[in-house]
Formats: sequence, C-alpha cells, structure tokens
Amino acid sequence: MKIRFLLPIVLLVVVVIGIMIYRAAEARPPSAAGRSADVKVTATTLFAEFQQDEVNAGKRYNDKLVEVTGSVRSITAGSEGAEIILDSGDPMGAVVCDFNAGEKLDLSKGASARIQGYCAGYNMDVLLQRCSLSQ
Amino acid sequence: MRNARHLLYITMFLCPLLAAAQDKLATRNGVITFFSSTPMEDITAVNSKVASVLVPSSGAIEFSALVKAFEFRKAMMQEHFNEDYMESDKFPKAFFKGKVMPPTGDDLSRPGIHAVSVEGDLTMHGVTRHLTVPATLTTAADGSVKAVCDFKVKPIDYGITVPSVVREKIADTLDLKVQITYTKL
Repeated sequence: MKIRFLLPIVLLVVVVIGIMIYRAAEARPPSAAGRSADVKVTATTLFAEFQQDEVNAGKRYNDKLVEVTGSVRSITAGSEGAEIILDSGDPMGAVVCDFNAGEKLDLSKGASARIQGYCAGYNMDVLLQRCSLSQ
Repeated sequence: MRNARHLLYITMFLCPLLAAAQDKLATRNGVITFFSSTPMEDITAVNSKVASVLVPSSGAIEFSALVKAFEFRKAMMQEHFNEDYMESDKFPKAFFKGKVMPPTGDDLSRPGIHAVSVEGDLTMHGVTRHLTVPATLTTAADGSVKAVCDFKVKPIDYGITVPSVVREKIADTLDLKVQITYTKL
C-alpha cells in the first residue's frame, strides 16, 4: 500500500530532476539583458586598466557583468549580431561591445552610451560579449 | 644647412618605417571556428574577434585570439571549455606566429588566388607546437587579402586532457577553420 502511494511521487521527482538537468545542459550562454552589473566603469578607465596591467585587470573584470559608459565610435549591425565600439581615449584601441542578433540599438556615432556585457578580456581591444543597452 | 641635414636624417629614418607600415595588412575581426564531431554530439564554437597582421612582401603572419571569446551554443559547453580544458584564466590567449610561403615566383600582393602553405608556431594552453598547413589567400585589386585555412589539431598535443566521463562527446581531433580578411592599416 505504501509502495503504491510512494511510487508516483518518486517517479514525479525523477522526471522533474531530469527536466532540470536537461534544461541546464541545453541552456544558452546568458545575455546581459535584465541583470544587474557586477561592476560599473567608464570605457576609458576599463581600456586603460587593461593596457597598463592586463593580468590584474583580467582578474578584476573577466567573466564579470560589466556596465561601461562611453562615447560611440562606430556601430555595425548584421544578421549574425551587432557591434558597438566605444571610444577608449586611445586611437589604437577601444571597448568592443558584441550584441546578439535582434537587439535594438537606437544609437548613433558620437552618442553617449551605457552598455553592459560579459568581459572576455583584452586583445588590442577590450571585449564585452552578449551585451545589452542599459536603461 | 643644419636643418637640411636634420631633414635628411629624419627622412632616412622614417622612410623604411613608413614603407613597412604601408605594406602591413591587419584585422581585428578574423574568425576561427572549431568543430568536434562524435556519434554522441557535435560541438561548434566561433571566435569572430581574432586580431591578425600579415605583411605580404615578407609573408610574415601573426594572430592572437582570446580563448574566452569562443562562443558556444550551450552555456555548459562554454563553461567546460574555459574552465576544464583550455584553463582560460591561466592561458587567456592563443597565438600563431609564422610565415606564409607562396610557390616560387608567386607574389602575394598580385591580385588573384594564391595557394600557399603557412608554417609557424601555434601556442595554446601554454604549449607551443610547430605547424605547416595549406591555405588559400585571395588578393583583391585594392590590396586587401582574404585568407582561408582548414587544419586539424589534437587537444592532447597541447596538454589538454578530456575527462573520461565526457570522452565520447569530444573528438580526439578537432577541425579548425580560419577565415580572415586583411585590410591596409
């Protein structure tokens, strides 16, 4: 009698756990949209910190959700996604913000922007991925 | 007279530098894609922020890629790739430094398609290996160059070990595709 009562509950728990594991395994890398930033910084400071000490800046920013403010140097949009380049104060480098396809980017060159994205590090430019425009 | 001598020295010093700069082609948006195919699972990752420099006159070529900039379809794959296999906090970049070798008499700056081999050192996960791979360079009339190269790497050659739990999901040999469009600096 007890087993007959418990069996459906055990089965239900197994199914729920299975669905949770499947969803976790299939989840896409998170977008920055709707999340609160771990750290806020200007584009010029972020770039300067990486340029001066890449290792320590990497420890501070890599994998973190970074909110960056700066002036838009250029915007490029395509079917695969879009890219906003923020001025770093150095013509040789910039803060590159990558957006997933479908993001609405109502900005123009020279405008002031507040963007948050996951920092991937520094390779001539500082790269932020899966970005969203901050309100 | 003194000013003229200064001008001569400056010209003699700057001319080679300017000539080298004019010859250099570069990009910050090169693309490297890797594929792993097994009966259990196919895995693809793309990095579209590869920085690279090519000097057609000498054939010198270099690129560097942020490991964390490889994007996967699934978050868990990306996490395992960075934390368990590539250890991207410890080894944040992959580098290649080498030389493009066109067939004898072929000039890479001439517009057209050039079948070349690329020889050099690939460093990733802190391990450097010497490679020679075939590639195709297409030089346009404006001097820009499109480079395409397909080759294979074995993770084990770079000290990357795959835990036995997921060994059936990750191929022993990965296919890499490099697609880079170089423009003048």
